[in-house]
Amino acid sequence: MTRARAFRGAAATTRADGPPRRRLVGLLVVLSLMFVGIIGRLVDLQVVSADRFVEYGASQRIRTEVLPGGRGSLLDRNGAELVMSVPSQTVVADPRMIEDAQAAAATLAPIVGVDEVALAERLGRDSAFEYIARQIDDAAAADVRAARITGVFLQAEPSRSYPSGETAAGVIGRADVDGVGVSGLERQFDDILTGTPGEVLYERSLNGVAIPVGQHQLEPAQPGEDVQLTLDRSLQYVVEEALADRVRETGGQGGTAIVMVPGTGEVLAMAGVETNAETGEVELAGYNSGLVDTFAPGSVIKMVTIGGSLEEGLTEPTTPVVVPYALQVADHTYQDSELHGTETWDVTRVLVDSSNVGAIQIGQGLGRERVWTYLDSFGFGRSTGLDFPGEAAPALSPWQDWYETDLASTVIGTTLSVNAMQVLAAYNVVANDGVYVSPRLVDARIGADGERRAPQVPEPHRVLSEATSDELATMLTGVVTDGTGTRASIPGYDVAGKTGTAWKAQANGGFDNARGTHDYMATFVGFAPVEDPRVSVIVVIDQPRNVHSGGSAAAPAFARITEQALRLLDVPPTGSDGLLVAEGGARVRAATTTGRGADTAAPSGAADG
Amino acid sequence: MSLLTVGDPRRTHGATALRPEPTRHVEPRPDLRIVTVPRRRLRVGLLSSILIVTFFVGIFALAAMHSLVVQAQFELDRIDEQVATRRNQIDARRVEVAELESPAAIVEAADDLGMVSPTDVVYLRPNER
Repeated sequence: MTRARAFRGAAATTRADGPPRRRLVGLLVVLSLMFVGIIGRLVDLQVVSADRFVEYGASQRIRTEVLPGGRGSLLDRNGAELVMSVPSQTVVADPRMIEDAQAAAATLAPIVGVDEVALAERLGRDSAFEYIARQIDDAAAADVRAARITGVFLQAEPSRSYPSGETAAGVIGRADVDGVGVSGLERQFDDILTGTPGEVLYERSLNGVAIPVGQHQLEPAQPGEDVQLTLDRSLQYVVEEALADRVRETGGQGGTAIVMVPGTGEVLAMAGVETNAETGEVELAGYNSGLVDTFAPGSVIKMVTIGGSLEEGLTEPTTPVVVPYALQVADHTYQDSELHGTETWDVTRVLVDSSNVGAIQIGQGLGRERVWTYLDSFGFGRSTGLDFPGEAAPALSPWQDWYETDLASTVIGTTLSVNAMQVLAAYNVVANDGVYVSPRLVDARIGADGERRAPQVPEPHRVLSEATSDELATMLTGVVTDGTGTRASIPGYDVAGKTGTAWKAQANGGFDNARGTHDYMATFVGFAPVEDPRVSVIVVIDQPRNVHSGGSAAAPAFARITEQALRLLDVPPTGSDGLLVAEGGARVRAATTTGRGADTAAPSGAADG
Repeated sequence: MSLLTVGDPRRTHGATALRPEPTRHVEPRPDLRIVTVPRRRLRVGLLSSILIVTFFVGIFALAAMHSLVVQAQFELDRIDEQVATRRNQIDARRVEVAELESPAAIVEAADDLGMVSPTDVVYLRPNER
């Protein structure tokens, strides 16, 4: 009975579970299918999609960072840094990694000094990269690092530093936050200053730490070259101060001053100031007015015509010229600045007293073509060669296009448009015994290896003979000792120079201002010491109000700047006139032949047309 | 290859009478044969132990080496960070020096010290002898 039940039970079990063989086969099939699936996936991972997964894995592990190639420095002639790059940190974010944008913004905003709402909006964007704050200081960077916000990173990004403040800012220019030169020398030498970025590639763990013995490749960054300028930082400061003071004293709208070494063409200082229309304060101009701004040079250009006439043998310094007060040329009447009868002057006096009528007559004797040729040779028809961004293009029209009055107007500098550098380079011809030397602002490029490379400079060319140059220098000395430029004299030094006063062109192209009168551009240009010129200087005062002539508005600034430059260049006095000298313990003033008295800024009676 | 022979038990020496020995049944001994000496058996257990120990020692050494490498990497990172920090400090000092040497800073310092620009410059004339 029991055995029969057991048999029935077993039979029932066998029927319910099926034959073991079938179950085993089924299990085998299932396992086989699973195995096939695994094999298929394996093939997919290792063969079919291998590259994609390798790339995906690498993208998660391998991080590539750009190493900034530091931007080179701009140095003055003594190696002092005018502008340099310093390491700084930029805060960036990967918004996709940030879980709570509001909280992150609330933490970051006070550290980096940005608006919290705007920052929260940026951190909430669906992007992989956002700038939070660029080139922050070290303290702020440390605070950001300490905040440890997921998705917020610090990356190295050099910033530009100007340790001399605004000194020479108009010449140096500026680079933007991306380190790209946008103005001035920063823009001109952008390619040279800009370094080549490097790259570092490494494997990192989940928490962003570099994996030891992981993949690591380093391509070092190459820093940009330094550019050593011919500028002297100390003299630049002195010139800026002197120019600003003079513009304040004369109530001018602005001013420009340049200091050069005549023999080499090196620019030692180059300053521009302007009066802020709102505050009335005189500030450094944000651009290089000495090269960018053009103006009518006025009487300073007479030196070219008279020099040409001497060189051509048409006149000598003592050649008499009949000078009436006024001269009719075509439909225009030219006159001297001071009323006088018809007199016979020599050529020297024409230059010293800056007679418009006398100069026009000498120019007419020279003729349009030769006047043009000399203007071109003196550098007024060509670029200075500095290639400075925004530099005014030469504006000397061909002599064939000149009308009858153009010759007269050009000779006295009322229709010509020049920049201050062109005028100074022209006067350097006289200082250099008749040779034109192109101005230059760059002394050398200095590579990362320390190697100095001097720039290519244009070949000097002769404009005047040495004899003519000496004659002109003597005549220009007379301008300072006896003529319109007496306030440019410097005790102990012989100074040669020329005053210039011209109407300022208005925005509408005419010369009448809103009051129906004229505004002036007052200029003085010259060099010292005459016997061995070591420094040449030009000062242009834009629209002086208290005085208007070059001799009264610009010459005092010329004297102050030139005196400082000679002292900085260790040029000893060549004479004793006007000097305070110590003899035997007593201070005595030596005999004075030039009248450098107090600058009262009184209206000048100087006849410097 | 040598064979041993058995002597005739009936052969005696001298006149001594000997009692005959009882007959014994001697089981025939198997023939001697040449056998080869079995080679010494490897001690598998010992070898396995050595291998296992070597394996784990190797693993341990690798781990130790890896640990040293990681430690060295951290040290390298620390030194790199120090170098970067020092470089930043040098650059900061360069800027500071340049700022202090700037004419504006010097003039400001001179003003603070109460220095003023001279109104006249006095030149010293050397004695003419």
